Amino acid sequence: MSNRMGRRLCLALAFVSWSLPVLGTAVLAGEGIVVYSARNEPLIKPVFDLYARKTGVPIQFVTDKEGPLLVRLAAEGTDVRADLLITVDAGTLWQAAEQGLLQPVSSPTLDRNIPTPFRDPKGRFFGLSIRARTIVYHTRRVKPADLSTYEALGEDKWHGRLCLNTSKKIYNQSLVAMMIAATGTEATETVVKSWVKNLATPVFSSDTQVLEAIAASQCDVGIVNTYYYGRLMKKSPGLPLALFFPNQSDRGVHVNISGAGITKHAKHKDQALKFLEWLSGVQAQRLFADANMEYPVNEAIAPTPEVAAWGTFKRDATPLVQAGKLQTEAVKLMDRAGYQ
Amino acid sequence: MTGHLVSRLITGLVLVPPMGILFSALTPSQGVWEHLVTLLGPLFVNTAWLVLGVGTGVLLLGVSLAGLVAYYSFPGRRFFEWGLMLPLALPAYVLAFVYVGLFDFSGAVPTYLRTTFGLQSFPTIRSLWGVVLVMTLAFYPYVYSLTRNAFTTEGARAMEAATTLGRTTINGFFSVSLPMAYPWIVGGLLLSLMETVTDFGTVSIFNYDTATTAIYKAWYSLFSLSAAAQIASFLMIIIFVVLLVTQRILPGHQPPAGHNESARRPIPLTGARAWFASAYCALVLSAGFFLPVIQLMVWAARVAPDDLDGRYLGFAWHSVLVASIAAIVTCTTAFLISVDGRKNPRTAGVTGSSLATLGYALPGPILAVGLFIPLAWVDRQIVSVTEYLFSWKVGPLLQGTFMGAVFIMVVAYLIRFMAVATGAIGNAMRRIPGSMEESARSLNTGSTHLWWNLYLPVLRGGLFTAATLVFVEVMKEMPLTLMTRPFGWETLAIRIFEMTSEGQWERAALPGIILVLTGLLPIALGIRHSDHARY
Amino acid sequence: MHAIELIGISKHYAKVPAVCDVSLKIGDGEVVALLGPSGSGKTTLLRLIAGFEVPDQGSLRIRGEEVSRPGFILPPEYRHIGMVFQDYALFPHLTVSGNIAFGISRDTVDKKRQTEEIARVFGLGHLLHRYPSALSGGQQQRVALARALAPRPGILMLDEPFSGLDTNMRIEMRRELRDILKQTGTTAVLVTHDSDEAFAMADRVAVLSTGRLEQYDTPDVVYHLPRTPFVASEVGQADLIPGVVQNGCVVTELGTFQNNRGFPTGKRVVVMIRPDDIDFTPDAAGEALIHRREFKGSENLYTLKLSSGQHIRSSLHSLSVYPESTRVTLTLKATHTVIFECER
Repeated sequence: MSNRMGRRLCLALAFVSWSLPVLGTAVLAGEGIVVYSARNEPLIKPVFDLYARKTGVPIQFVTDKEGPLLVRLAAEGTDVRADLLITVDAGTLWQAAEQGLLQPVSSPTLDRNIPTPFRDPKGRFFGLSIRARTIVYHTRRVKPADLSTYEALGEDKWHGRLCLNTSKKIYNQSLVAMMIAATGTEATETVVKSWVKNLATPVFSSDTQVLEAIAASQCDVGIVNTYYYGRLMKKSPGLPLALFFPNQSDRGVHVNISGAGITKHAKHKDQALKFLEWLSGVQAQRLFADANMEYPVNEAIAPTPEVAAWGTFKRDATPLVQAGKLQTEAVKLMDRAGYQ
Repeated sequence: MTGHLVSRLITGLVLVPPMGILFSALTPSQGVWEHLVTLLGPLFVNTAWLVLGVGTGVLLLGVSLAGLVAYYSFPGRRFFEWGLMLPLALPAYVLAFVYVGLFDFSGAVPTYLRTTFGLQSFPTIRSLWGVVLVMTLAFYPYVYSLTRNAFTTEGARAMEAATTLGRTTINGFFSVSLPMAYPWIVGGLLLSLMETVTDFGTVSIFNYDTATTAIYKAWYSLFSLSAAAQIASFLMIIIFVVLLVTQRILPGHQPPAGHNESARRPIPLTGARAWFASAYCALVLSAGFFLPVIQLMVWAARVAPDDLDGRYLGFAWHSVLVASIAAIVTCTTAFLISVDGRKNPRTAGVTGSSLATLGYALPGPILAVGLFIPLAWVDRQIVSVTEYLFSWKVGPLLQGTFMGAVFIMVVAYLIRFMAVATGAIGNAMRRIPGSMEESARSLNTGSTHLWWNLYLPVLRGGLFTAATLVFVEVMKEMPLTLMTRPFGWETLAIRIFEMTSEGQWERAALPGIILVLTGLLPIALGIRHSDHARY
Repeated sequence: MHAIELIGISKHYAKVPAVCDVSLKIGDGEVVALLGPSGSGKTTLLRLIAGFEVPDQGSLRIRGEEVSRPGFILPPEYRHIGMVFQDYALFPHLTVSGNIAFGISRDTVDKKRQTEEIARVFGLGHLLHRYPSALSGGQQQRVALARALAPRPGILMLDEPFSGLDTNMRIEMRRELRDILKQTGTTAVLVTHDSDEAFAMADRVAVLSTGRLEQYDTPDVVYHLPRTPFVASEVGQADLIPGVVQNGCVVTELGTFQNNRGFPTGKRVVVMIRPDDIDFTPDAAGEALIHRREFKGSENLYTLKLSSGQHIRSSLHSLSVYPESTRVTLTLKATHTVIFECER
């Protein structure tokens, strides 16, 4: 019996040692652009593939959460592998830039294609698509006329009717950060507290759950990113849900970006910059934004018809750098206000 | 002697990430800590409730099921014996999103109850009891497998002795089998509680904040890795102390070597009792496995026309490949360490074996960082030394090459899942009586011979159990895989991450169900095989 | 009323018979040994009595009450039968006193005193707080006995209880245990493969071969008047000398024996001769030759070679030493003759 066992083990080990070199041959060449991305694979792969097809420059990438990606960049230091960091919010990019992980670049193309609020004034990062965070309501239980601003969701008439996503989501952190930028800490804290008071149910862990809860009449209003709404309505078009764009008479709807920056010690800086410029151009913008029903950052390009059908709205034009600067404060504020 | 050295080295390696984290914790974290302190109290209370709930849950389920299948026979027992291990194939975070999807207000079940029966109030699953339920279902197999093993081997003869002394089976179970199985039960309990305490994925789906939530808040939201490291170190030290204390308290009583040949046959249950036993096992298995699997299949079927393509073969292959390598490497290492611990009981004492399991006491991403930072440093030194010596610029060796990255990935799994493997192998090792070793030595066999012809065949059952557990754990592991994988390397778990990172849980069902199905085969094979091993 | 009564008990494992149609009555306070080689079904019989196995056929009465029949067993815990296992099966998580007290009824007023008393009887008084893993083999054995007897079971099963002990310890333990059993009037069934042990302990011996009961009698009857050649060789050394019935006598190489079983003339038979039944003196004209001598301490066991080539053994006093190849004359001193039919 021990012999049979031994033979099996040897076989297993042989198999492993055999398979490793075979895989080893799959090592990609060192050339091309390397990307660390917090934007997920289904949303970026088509863009990378298109670029590689058009220019012959291969793009290697790994996806992960923002936190680990920043640690990775920092730990690799001067031997950093990545040329480009892609994230799904401005706060992380600002944080990376502040930690000295990104380098400033100047490019007329980028300046032309990307409006000022959506890029770093120092040129360290650039928005590539816009994500709007707006109010969603139950069409049969809420009249749009009752809605006005984010702040108004704290009014007593919404008591037990509000659904929110968790404060651990970066979307809510930057929303609150921008509210602090617009109205100050004290006023914002009062608003957040009133939201918490109005909650119909403990906060959710995704925007989709907020939408589903409203559709099921667990609550009547909520705050979500528009593309979650688009995604859900595409799957079940009959849901009694509609978007409302708040704060149109003052600062406008809160928007964030999915963006990118070139790393401090990028090995292929020029190639990365060319790629970044291409990303802000017409063809890439279509693919980049439309894949997820986001708004293109390049104003020359209109959103897809189904996104455009939600209506046009005034965007909050406060520079997104503020979202990064005030993120920590926003998190602390939400903790104080008891917003989980 | 070389074995001793190797096992010391590996224990040292396992200590790299925890030490790295402790080191990072030394950096002051400006402003962040003051804020976190105000939150930590209630968060630790939440963790305590969770530990209490999940601990009670896995003990009740794991021990009762193990006792039932070990001592009684009833319809379906042969299947339940290994079938009750199946929930291991489901990652806890997948189970969590299935349960929230099914039982939250807008989910299928409450919606059905509302529309059909007008039942309005339904306790929300996104609460302590929901997390406890899901984690209990996900983690009870640890307690179940170890406990059943203890019951079926040494417990059987002692039960016979108890009945001749006038105790009924039930009474004998509580006064003999259960206390004798304490080391195994506690071992399983500690594994599930370490998973519970360091879990982030599951609790975040339920939005139930724990001490681990504070770690992520410090890191992801407040961008203070050092504050995160401080909380993680604190948790790790608590776990370490608990491990040490339990190992000291539990007298490692030497069980007699297995006497399987005339072990008591299970008592047949009849009538209502038999059906109750079957129903109980079926209920647990349905809740922990069949229900979520069916729901996953329904979701997967919805997205499969768009998402399912040939790449999934590659994802599955990558998952299986890396899990197999990690299982072999981890079990070989745990085997080395166990044998060494037996040969040198003084140096490889209780503390050493607790240290080797510390990788399990850190949340996955923290462990990944703790490994990554020192590795990147080593890599940079290699680069600068070669540059200085040969004025020859090389890329980073470890992370820069495919082989290097695979190597790191396997090392990361080894560090994380050492605890799982040493548990199973150590238990098997305890069953080898010292005389067996001495008699083998007296036959003047060389050391190699001893390994091949004594330890390996005798520990076969334990090795199979360990390999299966590690395989399944690696298949499910997400944060370590994300951080250490080579470029372009995608596994099923990575695929689940890609989908869930934007909240697309239904799309994650497709890789989820493939992950579960891929993990089933080794569970069925490994567990049954280790059962049939004679020792 | 008998303490234990087996009526036509059979038990098969996967079609292989382990116990075949065994009937046995054990009186109150009697000590019975089940003697046989491994595989003879003696342990299975013990487990049937204890209630761990269900018989396929037959029934079992304990203290006059039917406790086992096909499809029904009274579980072991209701039989009030103590059991000592071959591997002792001590509870590793309990101390010596915990182990001993385990079976004593909860309602017993003086549980502690009773425990200590039994421990003292077995010489364990100073070990009460030790764990089994810290005890020697002999001490563990005593704990196992004390534990089994503590509830005063009335009936005790012993499964090769002394096999783990060295010879001196074994002899001492046998004597002690027999005294205790007799003092307490405990009925006991002892499984053993050692005839010395069976003779030393038992009032009656049941010899088993491949699941069948070959003979059930007092030790001296089993020894001197075995019913089958198997029993003859199982309970001691025996040589079988062929012979043939002539004129109402059995004629063999060693002489004529009484045909006490009335075999017909011309029948081929064998006569059982035990080493202590045969004596010899050196004689240059003797018909036999000393083939080998084994020194056994209290005796010398000689193997003698007859002129026909047949070997026969003889035990003499340890001081009677003769060199090998000495010619000798044999003297039979048997008071009784045991004759079996020739098997071939």
